[in-house]
Amino acid sequence: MKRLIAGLVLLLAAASCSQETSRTEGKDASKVVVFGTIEENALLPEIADFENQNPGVEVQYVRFNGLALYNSVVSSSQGAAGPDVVISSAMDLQVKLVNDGLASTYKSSETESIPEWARWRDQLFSVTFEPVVMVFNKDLMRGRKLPRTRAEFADQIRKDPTFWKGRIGLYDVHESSAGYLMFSQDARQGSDFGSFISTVGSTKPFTSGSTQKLFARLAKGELAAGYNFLGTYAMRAIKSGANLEVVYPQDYTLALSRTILIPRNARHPNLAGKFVDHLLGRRGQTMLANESGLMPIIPTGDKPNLAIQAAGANDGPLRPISLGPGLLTYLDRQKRLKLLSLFDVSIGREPRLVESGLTTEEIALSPPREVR
Amino acid sequence: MTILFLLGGIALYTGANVYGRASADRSFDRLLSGSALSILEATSVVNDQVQVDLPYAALDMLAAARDDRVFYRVVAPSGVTVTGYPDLPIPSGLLAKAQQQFSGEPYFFDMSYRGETVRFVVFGRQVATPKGTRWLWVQVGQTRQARDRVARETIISSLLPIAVMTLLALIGVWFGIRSAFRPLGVVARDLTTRQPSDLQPLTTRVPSDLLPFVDATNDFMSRLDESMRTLRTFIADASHQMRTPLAAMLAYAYVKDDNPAEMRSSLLAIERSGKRLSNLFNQLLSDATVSHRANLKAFAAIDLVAVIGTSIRDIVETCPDSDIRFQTSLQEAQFHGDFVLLKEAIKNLIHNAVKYGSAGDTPVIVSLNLQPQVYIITVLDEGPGLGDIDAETLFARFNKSSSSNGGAGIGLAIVRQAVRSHGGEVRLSNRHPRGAQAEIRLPVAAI
Repeated sequence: MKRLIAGLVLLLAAASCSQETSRTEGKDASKVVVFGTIEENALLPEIADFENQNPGVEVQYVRFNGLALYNSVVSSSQGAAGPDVVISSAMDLQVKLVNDGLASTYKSSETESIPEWARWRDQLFSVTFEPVVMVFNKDLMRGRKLPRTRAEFADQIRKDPTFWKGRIGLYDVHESSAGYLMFSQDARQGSDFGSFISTVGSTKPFTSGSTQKLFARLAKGELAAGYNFLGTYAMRAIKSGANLEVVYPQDYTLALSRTILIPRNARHPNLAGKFVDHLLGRRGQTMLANESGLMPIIPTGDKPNLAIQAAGANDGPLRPISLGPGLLTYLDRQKRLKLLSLFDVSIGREPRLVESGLTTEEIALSPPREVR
Repeated sequence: MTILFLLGGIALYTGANVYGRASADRSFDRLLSGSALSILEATSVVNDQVQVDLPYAALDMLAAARDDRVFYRVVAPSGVTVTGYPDLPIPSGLLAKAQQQFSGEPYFFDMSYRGETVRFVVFGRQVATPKGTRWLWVQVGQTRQARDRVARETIISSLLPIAVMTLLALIGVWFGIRSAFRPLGVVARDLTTRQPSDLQPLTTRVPSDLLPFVDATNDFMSRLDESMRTLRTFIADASHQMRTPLAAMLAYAYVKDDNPAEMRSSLLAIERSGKRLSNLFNQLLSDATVSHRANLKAFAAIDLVAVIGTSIRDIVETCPDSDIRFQTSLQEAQFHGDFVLLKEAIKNLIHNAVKYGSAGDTPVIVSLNLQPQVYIITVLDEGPGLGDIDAETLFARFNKSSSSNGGAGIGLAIVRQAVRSHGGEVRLSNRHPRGAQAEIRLPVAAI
């Protein structure tokens, strides 16, 4: 396995690949290029296992942020070198790729084994199922009651604004596409979300597009709470010694999936299919749960996944984000601008008028960024 | 039949197809226009800028068709796509209309977009601009997967019962025909396994539809039985007739004495028997000829005067002593018939008259007359007449009354058969005060 650290270098390499294709055909034929938003350490065991199971096959994993990932697939559909497999937590962008006809259909016993709500058009498949939670630093919160709902959280902020000042961590929705997805789903779900986010925003929260930075600050006690964090990351931070507590909001808990697709222009669709099967298969799913610390979409034998069963019923406080054209709504240019400026205004920032163009006609080929 | 069935099938399928597609479009178009309408309602013009707050439900409601892709756009009065997919296709006619005005009704159309056929709706709304009222419009499209599936299901659900019913009907017809024809099979088996001599009527129980067939068969068999019996009787009688003279000849042939006188009388007796046999054979041959020709009906235009003349000449040749007179006022008697048959019949009658009627020197008188539509030929003699004998019995073959007179008893039967084959009739009667009369009536029109 070839690991490249900087996505920027990689995209350049991928671009130059198109010229080298003819020379390295033999070697190239057994290389699967995977673009993803998952931090590579999390996916490393999976990739190593896949390479062991398929001798001679090499997996090249490149990490992108969601928007850059989306743009790379769009540009690959126009002839540029692109990935064979795309795995992303930005469900909305993945749905848009499928809706715009940039993904290819893939069917296998593995893809059929995941629940129907977890796939779309046999082109997009959920690999994980991850609740979106509030995370608190137990040291800082000592003596304080942990809020169980958004309303309770807002209440606490209003009662003691000085404590909370600068102590809440939020994903910067401009930079994190998963952050934007969760923010937009909040806007959809909560009728009083506007007042909640302005209350949170009034504390001058710390915003970042980087999960690492947010968790680092939370673990060090620079932040007291993180809102709309992924539960799986929180569990991992706790495992590695951080004194944190995870709260599943009781008014409603969103659940997000990392989804996988094979671009229409994939160079090695067969190997790509194998890789998809590997991630969705029992062995791969178990590995995701045990070694990557992610919640698999298929309940694995030793860990029955009650959350997923609840998701199938689609009721109770668990609100899984379902795949489908509805997700296109918040990618609408005007809608997106409106939401981004709502975020900016809420946290007391001048709204950025530059839009991260998403409509097909104006593809923003923003350079891939290292999210760490 | 097959072609008719096929054409019907095609018509039915086309109909169901159109209906299925239309009904699928009707229900999904409602969703599509609902979606477009909700986007339109979320559209406002602020400071000459078209603003859209795309409702989540607008696109999510289209997820009712789970696997279909969705496209939309909002177009400002200037023709610029404000948000959504700017390159959605639109029929040029509708586009021209869009610059002018919409009726406020949704327009639906199918067009290809991004490699798939997409059902689009275009919905317009009037807005006030500084330049006056203008139209802005929303276009929403959805791929046809769910529609086509619903249409297919509609087609199947409407055609399946028909197909099943047709199949059942065909099976029913098959069984019906089979059971209707089963009695025929039984009849056929009955007939094939029968002895050739068994002409008993069929007793198989058959449906009433088949009764005429069975009745006709039974009727035919009874007639066949009758004619077989007649034939057997005829053979028995004919052999009996032949046996007597043959036995006599053999008896005379075994004369033991060398007495020339005895031998001479024996030879005379043998000659007599031989003549009788020869006569019998001639009559049988004549009978066979008449039967054959009567069946053949090889009729042609003939002259009855010539027929009678020839008959009289033939008789006179064999019996030079006879006195036969022919009376007729006709120069020629055109008739459609068989010359040989009629000649044979008339000869027989004249022969009988000569043989039995003119014992003395009384003449036999043959006459021919034409009454309207019928020729009447009469043969008169002044002999002893028929006596008490029923004339009808004389027409039967080998009848006792004639054979006891030394005749073979076939002659009159031949006459009747020949005349009847011409559609005519023959009668025998006594004359007053003495003699017999034979009368043949031949209808002219009878062909």
